[in-house]
Amino acid sequence: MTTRHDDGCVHERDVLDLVAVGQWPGRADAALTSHVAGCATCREVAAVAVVVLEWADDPRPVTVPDASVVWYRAQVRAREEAARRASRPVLAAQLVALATVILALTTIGPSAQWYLALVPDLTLPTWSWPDTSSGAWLGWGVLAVVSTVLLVGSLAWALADE
Amino acid sequence: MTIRETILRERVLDASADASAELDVALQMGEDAFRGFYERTSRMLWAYLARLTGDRQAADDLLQECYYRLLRSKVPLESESHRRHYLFRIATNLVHDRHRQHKGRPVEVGGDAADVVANVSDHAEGTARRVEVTQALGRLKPKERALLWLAYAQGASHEEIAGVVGVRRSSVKVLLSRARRKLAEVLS
Repeated sequence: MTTRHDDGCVHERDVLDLVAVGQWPGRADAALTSHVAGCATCREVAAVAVVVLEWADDPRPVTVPDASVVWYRAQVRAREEAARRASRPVLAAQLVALATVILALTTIGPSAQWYLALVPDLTLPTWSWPDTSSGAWLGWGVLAVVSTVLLVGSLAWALADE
Repeated sequence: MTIRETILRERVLDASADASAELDVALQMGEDAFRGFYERTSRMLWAYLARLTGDRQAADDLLQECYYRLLRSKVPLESESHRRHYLFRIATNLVHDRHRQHKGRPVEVGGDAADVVANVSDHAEGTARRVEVTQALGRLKPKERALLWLAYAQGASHEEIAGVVGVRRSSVKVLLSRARRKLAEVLS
């Protein structure tokens, strides 16, 4: 009668040990051979292990790069990545500056009249609040949102570890 | 060493001499330790990658990536065995990522089988069998191939397999049993 042990069979290891050294089924003793004949799990283990070892046994030579090549490539790449990481704060500072300018424009812009009045000879048309119906507020709002996102995003990106 | 590698080496030496020495390029181990570890593991790792992907070229590329990620890892790896398991875990994850990216494309294991035919055509019977085996394994998922390889080609314990494949130790037996049954069905 054939049995299957869903939780594995205690003889699996014996079968695998023989398969691993290429001695299955030749060197298996009678008791093990008899057990395997009636144990579906062990039969399956033996059949699959033999196939996997055939799969592993490729006659073509394995050529891997020299250790020094892999090491130097890793060094170069690590340095490139470190350099990229080191330049992040500079780019982040540029983005922050840009965001600050946009924010300044959106906040000072509407009340620039007092500021312009400090320059006596410079006369500019009187500023008036934009007409809400013209959609100008929408423009200022979009600018403010974009600059805030830029500010927060660039800071988060610059401070991120990887 | 080829000209290209010599140039690469020079670049590294130059880079280490300049002001960029302050850059954070800390690697997991020193060069001598790496060489020893690489000599002991690279062929086994390459074979694992080649069998899981079914593509020798991909195995070459992934091999470099595996060692790079290991070297750049900040995980404390105290022992050789821990380091080796971590390396194989990286390899398994890379193969899974690659499998996800290549989903929908034809299975490449067949390409490897064709390569086998071209290279060992003088052993017709063995070659036919190898092609059959390769194609059968090509019908399994990479994770299933990984389980079978680790258990039967490398003789890894369930605990080691769990660490490499990224599953609980208690799940290995069930997953291995399913993969085994699936291969047995494909072969029959």
